[in-house]
Amino acid sequence: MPSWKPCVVTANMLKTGDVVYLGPQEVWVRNIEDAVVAHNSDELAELEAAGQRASDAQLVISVYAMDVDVVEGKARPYTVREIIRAAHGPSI
Amino acid sequence: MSEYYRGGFLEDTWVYINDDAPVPETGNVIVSLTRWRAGGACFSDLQGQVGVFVEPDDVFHEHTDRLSKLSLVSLSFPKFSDGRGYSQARMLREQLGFEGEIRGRGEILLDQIPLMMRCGIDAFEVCHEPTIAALKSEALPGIMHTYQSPVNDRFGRLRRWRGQIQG
Amino acid sequence: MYRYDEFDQAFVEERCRQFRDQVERRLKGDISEDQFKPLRLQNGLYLQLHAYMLRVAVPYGVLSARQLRKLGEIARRFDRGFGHFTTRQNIQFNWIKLEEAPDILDELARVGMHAIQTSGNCIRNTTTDPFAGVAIDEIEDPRVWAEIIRQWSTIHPEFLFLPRKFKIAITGAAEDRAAIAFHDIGIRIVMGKEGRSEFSIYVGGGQGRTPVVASLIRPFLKKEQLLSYLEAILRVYNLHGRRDNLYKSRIKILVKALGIEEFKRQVDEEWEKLDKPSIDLPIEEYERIAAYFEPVNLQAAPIQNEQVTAREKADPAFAAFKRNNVFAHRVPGHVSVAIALKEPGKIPGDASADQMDAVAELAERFGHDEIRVTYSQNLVLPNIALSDLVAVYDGLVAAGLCSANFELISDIIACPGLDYCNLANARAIPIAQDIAKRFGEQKKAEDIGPLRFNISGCINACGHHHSGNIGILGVDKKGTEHYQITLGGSPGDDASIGSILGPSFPAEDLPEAIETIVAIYLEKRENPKESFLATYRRIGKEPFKDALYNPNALNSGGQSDALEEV
Ligand code: SF4
Repeated sequence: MPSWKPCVVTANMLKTGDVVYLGPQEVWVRNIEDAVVAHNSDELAELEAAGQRASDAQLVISVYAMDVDVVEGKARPYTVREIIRAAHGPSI
Repeated sequence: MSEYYRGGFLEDTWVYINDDAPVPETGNVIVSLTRWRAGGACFSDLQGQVGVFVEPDDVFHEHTDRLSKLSLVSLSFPKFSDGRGYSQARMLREQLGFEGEIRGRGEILLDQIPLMMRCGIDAFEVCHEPTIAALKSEALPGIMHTYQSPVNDRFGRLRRWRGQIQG
Repeated sequence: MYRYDEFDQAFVEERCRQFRDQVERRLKGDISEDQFKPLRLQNGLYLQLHAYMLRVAVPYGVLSARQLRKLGEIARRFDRGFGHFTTRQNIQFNWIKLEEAPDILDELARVGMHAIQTSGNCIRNTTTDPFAGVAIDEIEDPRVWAEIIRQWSTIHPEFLFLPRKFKIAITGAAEDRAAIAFHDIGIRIVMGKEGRSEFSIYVGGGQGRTPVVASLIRPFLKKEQLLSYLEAILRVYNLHGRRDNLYKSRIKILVKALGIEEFKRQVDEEWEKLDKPSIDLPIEEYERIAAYFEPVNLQAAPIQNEQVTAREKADPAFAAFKRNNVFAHRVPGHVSVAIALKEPGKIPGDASADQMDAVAELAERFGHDEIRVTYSQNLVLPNIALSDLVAVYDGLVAAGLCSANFELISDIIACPGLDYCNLANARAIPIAQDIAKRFGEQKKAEDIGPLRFNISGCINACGHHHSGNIGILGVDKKGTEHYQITLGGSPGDDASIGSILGPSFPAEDLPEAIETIVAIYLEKRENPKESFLATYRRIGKEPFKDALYNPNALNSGGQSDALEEV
């Protein structure tokens, strides 16, 4: 069994381009700590379906699932790219 | 009967015939360039006209005399990002003096139609639903001011650098 | 410089309306993101890491004061108060909202600007020498032809869906300052056989994954035939360039696959068949456009100025600025002033809205209303009277734009990298900042002398690292940012592609490695006049390689991991 890495679903808002994460009740949130974490493939499939719905509704674009670390129950990005995205601005 | 767009939506009298299907006895048929090249005789019984279907990588440098006398050439746009048909259309119009109908067929979006028209394509088989809806309800979204001579001007060898398309 | 007439204005306004309509259709859901993407890209609108990015065309890098002010206003109103100048002599805004993009384009149209074809698989902004029209080594002003190419390529209906993007550069000077050898088509104005100027045409150069120096396809082309000849090249490329593989779709790959002789044969065959009179520019149009580029009427003046000399003696910073950033002008008593957007520690190529205003004002007061954007992400005031130099300098000091490092090691070309760019492997900006600071001391930098230093955040090579004397490429090595060093690239007349030195370095070791490379150069150069590039070409890469990878052994070790990432 490949080890499962927890993930969240992220996107950019269509109108503004802002980085967002899929939160509870299919609400898109700015803060990655508020994102819903999928702990198995079924949960991820649900998140991805919600992402697709939002994309079809012209709410978000560039939807994808990303692996995260989970610290005290909250998602935390770990690649440089996702750390920079989650910070909503350049590292400099 | 399907529809195609040529200034407005019209009923299509042309039928595409696959290479492995027999040519019918009546009606206007569109066949592949290869088949058309190969078989002059098999069209001799046809009560109707022959058009040719050109793929983006087809080269039509030979048989140009015969090709230029056809009444229809259909150019394929397998993806909206594949722009080879724009060059093929201009070559047909400007180098072969082709005066028949040039159709665009495939993934063609609303905003591309005015560009294709400027290259000499005058009819469109559109499958994209919102494009069909837009063509039925609105004017074309093209830009009337053009820096290059339109193909029709080139035809008449009218030299015009910056022009305006008459709406 | 060129000014829009009614035709151009009507055109660009039509285009704005068209884009507004496209955005509306997208927001309504009539068109999907897949279908909208090429449309927004043809208007310079990308989706980047944090927001949309709008790339505005600065045709061949020429701006009026009014246009630069407008860019400042856009930075203030729609962005976060700054803009980023690019190696294509354009400007990018990093924090754009899709819903506001049509308003921005309307604003730009008011000053005769747009974002057309700054992206997408079409003919991009033509670049040229930032000293065009004023350089002393110029045969003819290339801007006239750059403008003609701009008009010809703008919404050229046949060439908007090419296999890949297409870049043209033109130079009219003895020294190539437009890097024409690294373009899909490079054009050089040369003296023809009959004492008439003609064009030499180069084709198939480029950077990216497969860097190639362009080949000469036609040594002499009559100038009035340029457009039909370009059209023949573009048509052969449009029909036969590869469309099955993104990385093999540039014209350089086609030229390589066919060989330059066969490619030339196909172009000539196509050119033969073109209806040239309907494509080539009518002479009246040429004259109409050329009239806009009549040289500014400047009175020759003494080549010494007391105020300048006195200030040079009294103020070492001014003296350094004059040594490095001030260039000879074709009219005696005048100079061109380079404004380096490269203060060590700042983001290369960035200018704040206030700085744009300040430069616009200097251009209006002292510079005959003209500003240039350089391919090295700097600005130039091309027409400054020597007697105004001190005033201009003081204005630049007040705006924080007085770095005296033009074309020195700290004048680093860097792409936005992973801090903004969606395609990046690694950050470029912090690396540039760190290295510029290390070599920030004026005396040290001047001692090292001219050194083209380039950084790209990924193999797309927007920072032109292949043509840097020192080039840095960001790579992803198991999820961490690593940097590969190339040496010996050059963008100019002696164009060459840098050679990879060896395995990549993690970010924290990179500055040290650069220090080592520079130290080897300083040690090995024959005299202080021998440039880094000249020394490298004389001694080769081994001494640098040994110092970096094998400081104690004679034998150089380590397999290059150069290709594993690409
Ligand atoms: S080189 Fe790569 S990282 Fe840099 S701007 Fe280009 S695509 Fe982005």
